[in-house]
Amino acid sequence: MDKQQAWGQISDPSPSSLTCITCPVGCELEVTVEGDGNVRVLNNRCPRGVDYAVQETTAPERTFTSTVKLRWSALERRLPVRLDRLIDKARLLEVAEYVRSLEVQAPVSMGDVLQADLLKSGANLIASRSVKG
Amino acid sequence: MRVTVIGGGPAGMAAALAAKRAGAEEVLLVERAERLGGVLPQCIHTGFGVSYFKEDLTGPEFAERLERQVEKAGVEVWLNAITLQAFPDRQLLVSTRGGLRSLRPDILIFAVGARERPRGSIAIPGDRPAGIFTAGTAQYMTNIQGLQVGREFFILGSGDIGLIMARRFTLEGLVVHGVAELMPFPGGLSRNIQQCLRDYAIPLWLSHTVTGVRGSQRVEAVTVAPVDSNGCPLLDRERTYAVDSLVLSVGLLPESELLRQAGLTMVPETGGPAVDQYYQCEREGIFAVGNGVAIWDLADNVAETAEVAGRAAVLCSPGRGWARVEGRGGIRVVIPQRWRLEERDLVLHFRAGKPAIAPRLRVTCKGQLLARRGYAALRPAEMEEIRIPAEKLAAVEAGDLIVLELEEGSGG
Repeated sequence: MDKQQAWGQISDPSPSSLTCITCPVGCELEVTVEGDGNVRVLNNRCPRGVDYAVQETTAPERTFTSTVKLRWSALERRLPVRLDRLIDKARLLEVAEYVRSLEVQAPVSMGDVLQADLLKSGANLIASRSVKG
Repeated sequence: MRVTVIGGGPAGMAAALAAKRAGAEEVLLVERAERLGGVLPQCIHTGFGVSYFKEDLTGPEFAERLERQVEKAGVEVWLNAITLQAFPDRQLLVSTRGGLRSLRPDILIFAVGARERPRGSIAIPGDRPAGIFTAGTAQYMTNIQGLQVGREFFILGSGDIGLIMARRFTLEGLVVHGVAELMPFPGGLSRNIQQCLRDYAIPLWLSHTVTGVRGSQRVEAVTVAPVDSNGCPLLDRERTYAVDSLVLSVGLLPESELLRQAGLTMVPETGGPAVDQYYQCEREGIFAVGNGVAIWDLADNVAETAEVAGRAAVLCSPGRGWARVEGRGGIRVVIPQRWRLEERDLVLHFRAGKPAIAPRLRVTCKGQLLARRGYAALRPAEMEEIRIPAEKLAAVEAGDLIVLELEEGSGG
């Protein structure tokens, strides 16, 4: 991409700045990884910012949600699903591709485990809403 | 007391619940769709409920929790019921499966939500092929109908729904070529810039716009150019993206049709009716809550406003007059626009017109300072608040003007 094209583009934050994604406030954290591996965090409005910064600089994790094909429901064609814990950020696309191939039958209740330990991620795939049969 | 709430999204459900819990005998919730939840069922991502339920939920989970409470509380729910007309005396005409119904509740709460700004309102030149969607429509088709809306996308506008859809398309194995934002700052929350764009290396072009759409049957390409400080495209720097879909995420507007019929005037800055701190409109017994009043950042905010209104509608005695509230000097949106005189703290919600670093905000009335507060930063994408202590408000009288403004020299 030439210089002219890059005009106006938001660049990645420098290694020392991170947008905390734990909650909608979105604190702009200043993060320094010190020589001994300790992570120092500034500008966080709550303690979760420190946890996020440590996780993000060592092993970044994300939430995952999607929808799957739903059978035997008169009203609904898709069922919203989620993983019940954060997973390795690098595995999101792989997990998404696998979840696309799944099908579920109604009735389903919110919170039902549809697949335990999905792709050995350590997280369960659960239904995000209830659908009557 | 009979309370009728129009609209069964998060605002309507929260308002109906609060009214019922405050002791209203009959609470009726009127929803035009075949289920409650409003837009939430299609918002399958997380980030809902952090403040309202103290838990990070998806949109469908947030909706289902509220829905269960509505059922348990004994709120009467009409589904597939469209309110055709509202009158200033609170009379309503509702089309239901059982026929046309006329009702006149003691308290009428509008929780009618918002609509997406369409292509027509932003005047993109070019052809009119298939493949141009508003972000919410693309979200509905993808998450509710299970359709694939396109393969290669460009997104105009950096509103949250567009950012969320950029990630959703990417996870579905589709390609998002970029997001253009007319303003020099993003429209959506910072966390969504991070987790929906940067995580997937999707470029965000600030101060850019779509200058044209090409295609005969289906979109074949869009052209994008930077804009100068007046928002005029620099056409010599136009470039072309070969995409089959253009998604517009250019903002929401409160739905105002029914409210206008009810004789309410709209505030230009919010697009919704003028409300007081209990979300009562300028007509006795008529309230408006949620995104039908102003566009809030989160469904949590929407539900919280509705709770305030639902409770107040049942419990509040008639006021002893109202003062006006106005934003100036860098403050674009203020809610409420009216303050019902009372001996309590007043929380004002506001949005800055442009980003400001380390600004100080001042609230005055008749030259007297009511409150002052500094902020690390103000961003137009984020609604902020300021609290005015009750004792400072004691001297404010009916008809007075309370002014909210950024102090000069701050927030450079």
